[in-house]
Amino acid sequence: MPKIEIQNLSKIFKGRRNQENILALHAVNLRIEEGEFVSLLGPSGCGKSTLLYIIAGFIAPSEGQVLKDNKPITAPGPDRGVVFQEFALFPWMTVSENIKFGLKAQNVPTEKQETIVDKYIEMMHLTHFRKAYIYELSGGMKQRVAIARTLAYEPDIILMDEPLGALDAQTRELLQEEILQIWERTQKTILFVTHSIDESIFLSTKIIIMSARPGTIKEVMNIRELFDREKKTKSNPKFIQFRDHIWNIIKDEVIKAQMGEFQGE
Amino acid sequence: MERYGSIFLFLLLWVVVSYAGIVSDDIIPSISQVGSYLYRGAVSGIIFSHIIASLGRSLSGFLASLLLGIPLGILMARVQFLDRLTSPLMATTYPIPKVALLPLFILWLGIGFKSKFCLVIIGCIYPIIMNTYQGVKMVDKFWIWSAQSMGATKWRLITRVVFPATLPYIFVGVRISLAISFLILFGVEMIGTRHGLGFLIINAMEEHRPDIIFAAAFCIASLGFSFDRLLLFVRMKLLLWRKEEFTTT
Repeated sequence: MPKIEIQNLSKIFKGRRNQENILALHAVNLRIEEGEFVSLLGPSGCGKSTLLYIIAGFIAPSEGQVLKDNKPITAPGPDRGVVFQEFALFPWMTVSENIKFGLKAQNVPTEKQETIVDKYIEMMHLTHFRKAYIYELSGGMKQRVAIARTLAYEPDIILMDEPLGALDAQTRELLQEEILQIWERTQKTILFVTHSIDESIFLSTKIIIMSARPGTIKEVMNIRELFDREKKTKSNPKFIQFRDHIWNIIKDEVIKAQMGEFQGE
Repeated sequence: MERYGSIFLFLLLWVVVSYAGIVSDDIIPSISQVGSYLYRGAVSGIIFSHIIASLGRSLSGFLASLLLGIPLGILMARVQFLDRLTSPLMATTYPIPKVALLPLFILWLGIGFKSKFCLVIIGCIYPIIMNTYQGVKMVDKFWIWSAQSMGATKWRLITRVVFPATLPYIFVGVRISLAISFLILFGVEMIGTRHGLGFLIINAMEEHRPDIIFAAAFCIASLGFSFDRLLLFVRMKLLLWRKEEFTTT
């Protein structure tokens, strides 16, 4: 049984006043198995974030359904953790209070809360920042807190919406490695939305390539099979080969998306 | 402290004007007249009875307006049905000068404390509700989504996320309300009062005693200023998670 199954999903956003309705997603069929690291890759506006938010339960589909463990998803919940691009941390709480939020919401006993917070503060290299307020942190630190906060209450799946998009290139490289290590260590199922081809090849076991709006699945690439056991470094010739291959698939869609924007959609 | 320099300048100007006899002291009392009235009032304790009477009305009404207005503002912003019901009502009644309702309140609630207490609440509650409402509407949707996805109950969402996120906006309303609670004293103490700073001013107008008017106005101003500073201090303590530097204006 797949962890997540999406059946014939479509999403229409109602247009405001004089604007037309927007068909964001069309006839999306998708399967995510447990333990996979799946990247959703596509041009701007293709609906990949919308798809993620539907799986998270924030938005309802217009047609079709999303099943988790064979049960339909109707609302957000602690079985599906979300990490946002803009971190969405609570600035009125310290780092450790942010991490504790999910634990408190789940009524985890207080002593246990501290142990868990300790564990993730160490895992995400946040040791000196326990009592810091969010405004005191750099972008990279904030994203680490966001990830720690989501990991702490141990959701079944982790949904990440371009989590590294707001970071500088160097921090991004660093965090990519950290995220990969976390995945290897925790064995979680991860769905990762991104623009970056390199990032998706580096991190994922499977890449789902989406078309420009209305978003559909263009191709699914099983990275794990393609790389077999080889090291996925960015200088590996296979890596470069796949990057080119994916870029060729996606290039038309990117152009289509840009043209759509140009025409004032 | 250069900030207070302008106050000293003002006082200097006042002293010059009265001692140079530029204006007669029927119109602008001299600083010594006002000072001596305050001194006598303080020594005899009379001025304190007026101060306490006024403070009692303004602060009790102000605090009640917080207790009622903040939850109301939050509820109105989060419950669509309530919003549609009350928003037009608020928008239309807002421009009514609340002091004009005093005779009505006295009719309904009698001439004692109750009618004035309610009037202060009505005067103070509008900015509280409106600013709280605005603040709740402006809470980042991703904070709400984060909390929901972490399994927070509605109660936890409101108390641990929506309310702290709205606090900076609430303070804007609170500050305005505090000022109103003092300003409204003049109107509130027009009828059926024998003690109060507003009453003193009204009485002094009839008895042609500008020195008393100045003295009472000075008291109201000092009290208003002191409480405002206190509020800013509380705000600083509660909002120290914001990176903005606090300029006290």
